[in-house]
Amino acid sequence: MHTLFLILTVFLAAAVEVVEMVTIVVGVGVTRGWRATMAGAGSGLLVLAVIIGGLGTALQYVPIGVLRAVVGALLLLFGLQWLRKAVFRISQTGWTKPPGGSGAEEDEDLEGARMPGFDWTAFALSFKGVVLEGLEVAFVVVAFSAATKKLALGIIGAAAAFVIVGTAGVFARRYVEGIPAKALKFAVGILLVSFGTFWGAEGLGVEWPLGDVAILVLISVYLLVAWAALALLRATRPAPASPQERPR
Amino acid sequence: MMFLALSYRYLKRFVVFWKEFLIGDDWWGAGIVLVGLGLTYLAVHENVAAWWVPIVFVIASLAQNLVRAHRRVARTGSEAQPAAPPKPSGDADPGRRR
Repeated sequence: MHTLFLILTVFLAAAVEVVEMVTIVVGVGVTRGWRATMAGAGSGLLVLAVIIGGLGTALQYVPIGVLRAVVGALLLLFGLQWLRKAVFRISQTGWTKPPGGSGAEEDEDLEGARMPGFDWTAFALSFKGVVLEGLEVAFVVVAFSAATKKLALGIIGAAAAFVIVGTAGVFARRYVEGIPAKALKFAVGILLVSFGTFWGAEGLGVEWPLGDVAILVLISVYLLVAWAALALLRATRPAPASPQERPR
Repeated sequence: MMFLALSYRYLKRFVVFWKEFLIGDDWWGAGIVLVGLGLTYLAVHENVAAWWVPIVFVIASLAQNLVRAHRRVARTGSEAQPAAPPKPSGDADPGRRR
């Protein structure tokens, strides 16, 4: 009974982190392409395996506060770019794809940041998401298992979360691809900014009221602010000038 | 010498990549967020409950960017920032082109 409880506890704790990992990887893959994203995710998992294998239980002593502060700030800065561009674009052209449009124009901001060839932005985003979330999973496994001296059981629980939640994320991919890119960027932007705020502040020493539940509060607050900004921008949107009115 | 030139080129591309990745065209927005995180750090070390500080600065960063973009569209009809005038390239030798 105790063994089952340990596996279940680690599974649920790891599942929360894996959901975040899959959200980031699927979001980046849909908006920027899968090749570099999967390469980043694969590299992240490899780095993670090396880190876990090399450090083992010593992972508990990695200063996760510094890691959270740095990665949180980076996610926050990048997430804000996505969010502000998505909010502004939706305020100008609405939520749906333009009629007859391929949707490629929706990605112009991201296209602008792309280098020719391999998409290092997608690689870096996916890599960071997997490594950070994976470290959290490793941390959960080690923390839970260290107390009970049953590391193998903790690994089984976390591996089950990886396989089950990861597979669900892959199957949901086709549905996610049908969503307009700007709407997806809006959602992923909210998530990145929320997690960035949470980890960044926590890494700097902030103690969030409500603990991890604060992430949900942050998502709600940013969602409300973005909706309000969207409504305000749409209400004050300048009317498009007709060809006769346009200055020559 | 060639190794140094190559290293410089890769270093420059690396810096440009991270600048585009993190800041894009909004230096003000990034600055506001970083100031917010700095103030959060200071407040925490003065034992002040500072969980709300980064949220306020993130919202301020988003608001200033959207207001500026809105004004830009009203003024020019385009969301994009006006392109900067081309800089003279340091490594080009005009005399060699002739």
